[in-house]
Amino acid sequence: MKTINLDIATPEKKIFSGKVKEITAPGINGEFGILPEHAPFTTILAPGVVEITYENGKVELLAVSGGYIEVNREKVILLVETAQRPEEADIETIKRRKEEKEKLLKSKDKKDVDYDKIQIELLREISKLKAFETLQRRKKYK
Amino acid sequence: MATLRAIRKRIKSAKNIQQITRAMKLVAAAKLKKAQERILSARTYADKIKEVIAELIINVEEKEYPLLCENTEIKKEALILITSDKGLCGSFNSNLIKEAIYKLRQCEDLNFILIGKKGYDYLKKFGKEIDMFKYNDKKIDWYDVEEIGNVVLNGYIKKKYKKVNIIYSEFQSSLQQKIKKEILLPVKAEELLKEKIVKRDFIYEPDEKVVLNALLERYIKSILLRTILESQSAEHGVRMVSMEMATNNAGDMIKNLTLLANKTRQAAITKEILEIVGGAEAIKG
Repeated sequence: MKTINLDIATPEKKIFSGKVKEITAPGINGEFGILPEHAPFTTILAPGVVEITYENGKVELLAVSGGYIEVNREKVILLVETAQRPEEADIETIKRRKEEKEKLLKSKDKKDVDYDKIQIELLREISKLKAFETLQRRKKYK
Repeated sequence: MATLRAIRKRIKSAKNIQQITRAMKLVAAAKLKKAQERILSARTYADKIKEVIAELIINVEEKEYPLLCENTEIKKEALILITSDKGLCGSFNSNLIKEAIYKLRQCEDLNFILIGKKGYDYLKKFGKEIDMFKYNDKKIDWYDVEEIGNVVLNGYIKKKYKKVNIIYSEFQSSLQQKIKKEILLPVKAEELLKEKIVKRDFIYEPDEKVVLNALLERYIKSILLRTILESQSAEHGVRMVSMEMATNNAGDMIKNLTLLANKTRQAAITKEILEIVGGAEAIKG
């Protein structure tokens, strides 16, 4: 059986390196899938869900916050800013954190709040939330 | 001459200090190892991005990319200075600050972006604008780097800065600290082209320009992360050496003081004997 050599790296560490059967990733022009012997190409990734099918047929989903993907003849390289496995976070906490931050942003009278920082954090939570919602939808569908 | 009791007290405090410095040396060694592991694990990402950019950058018009051309019409420059949060690491921070002040003399209109408390404490007195300040501890991660990167990139794209300079220390060996002065922005295409370039037959989606723009931003951020991690390694390396030296110096001091204490003790005994002998002679006589 033909397989793909996949490397996933974040700026801080390499999180995965190994053989997989199939990859689905969210490009900025829409979702796409990669099978073995795909033509070489590269694109920018949008925040969303990366789906990896291992050799034994097991499927794993990763919530990523944007990045870059390169497919060449030998391997597939996925560079993402953050990648999280769904079991590492639960949707309720993310939702709560998102609401907290929105509340903080609305309370403009407080002086000791770093609004820029919260804005960035909020965007991150939203993208995570989006990823996990896609994830749940897909689970139902299956 | 100091009394025996005073000397013994000094020996005791020197021993205490030696114990502390020895412990700090071991801690610094452990932290150095961790920091270096972080550099290594960050390398995959940075190297890959550099490779792809080098490949794309050959065929582009520099004018089309704001990050590649200098904002010549503006005078204001930005300086990113990476120092440590804590002291007790020899001349690590003062060397860096000296470079920053040297830069300040060359270019009056300078905004600071400071990473590390020591640099901040010193440079805030100069009354220059500080666009960003971050603590430089082991918790610093990609999120912080993204924040710093966004400040720098936005400032540059909105033509607030002419150039963005960066001063940091690179880890060479734990014995020496190498201060690096680099220009972060504009990105110099020639430097990237020094790497060996493999021209590959690729489809870029949606097109090369979008990919290159997105990658340039990530490239800047990955440089920032690297420099921060490098400077942390350098800090721990320098601290390790200076604490080793402090431990040795304390050892020398203890040796000298012990010698002095013994001499004083002997002198006191000799004096006592002399007094007794003298007293006995007086009674006899």
